[in-house]
Amino acid sequence: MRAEIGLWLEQSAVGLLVRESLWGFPIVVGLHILSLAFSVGMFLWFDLRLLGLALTSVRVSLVYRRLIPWATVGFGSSFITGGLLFTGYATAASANTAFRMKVLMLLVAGVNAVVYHTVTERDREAWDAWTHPPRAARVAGAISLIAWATVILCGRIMSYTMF
Amino acid sequence: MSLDDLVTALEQSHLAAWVSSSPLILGALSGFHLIGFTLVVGTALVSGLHMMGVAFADRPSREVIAIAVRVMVAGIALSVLTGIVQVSPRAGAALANWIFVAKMTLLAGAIAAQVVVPRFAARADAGTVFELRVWSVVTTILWLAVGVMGAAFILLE
Repeated sequence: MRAEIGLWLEQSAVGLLVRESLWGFPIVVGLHILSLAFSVGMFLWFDLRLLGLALTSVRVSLVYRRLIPWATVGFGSSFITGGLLFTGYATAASANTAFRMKVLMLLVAGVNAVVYHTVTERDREAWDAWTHPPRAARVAGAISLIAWATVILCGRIMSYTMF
Repeated sequence: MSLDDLVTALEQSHLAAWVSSSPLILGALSGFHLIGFTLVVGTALVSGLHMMGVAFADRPSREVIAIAVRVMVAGIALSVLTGIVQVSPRAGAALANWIFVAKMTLLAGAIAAQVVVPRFAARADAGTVFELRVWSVVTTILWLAVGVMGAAFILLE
């Protein structure tokens, strides 16, 4: 079933464009890499604030409001371009260990964000201005940094091991 | 020792042989190279947004730039180190590739522009803003251009 879906995606107009177009693949990959650097580079600074390592005189909520919208635009672009790339190489990608690890780490980053927003942030008003946020927030920042670094690493490794 | 001798020595080194021995090693080096670039781009964007008055405008520029410089130096160091190791097996071909040379030229320009920015930051706190904003945009564009050429190099080489 999974193989059939993969083949269907690869044979679609989008899949063929990504895989067989002279400029389609380089442009989509280039945009994917740059979008990822843009978004993760911004997430990094919020994580550094959560860890109490940067912008410590700025309220955590303000750092979030100023940086995360930009990061979200970058992430959106990464997500779209990543989807396009997967469409072109679904079969090889889904069988690749580095790709699976990348997807797993994306899920870890996502769950980490959900836990931060639904649990850790409940009493944010109490520690919003702290130089060093409470442990739960610092852990969220550390997990985010590790997860995103692993996403980047696995993304490049899969490029070299997929074929 | 000429540049050609250096390039040949690098291509024939144990380091180059090790890098070439496994696609996993090349992939990991490329990954750490991109992590370094991400540190640089993220920092350039955050400090650029600050200097353009979009983010943390009420904080002294010196405060924002000080940590930004440290993160950026770490990112550049990681990128340069992994870049040299990655390219070691094919250093000669890389130096003959116009995309690679363009990337290195843009990198030099971006680093030079970034070094100048803190000087503007000090003046910005004293009230000079327009030049700082223009310079921030220029610096950010240079870093993104490095990224574009880097992506072009690995995809079109």
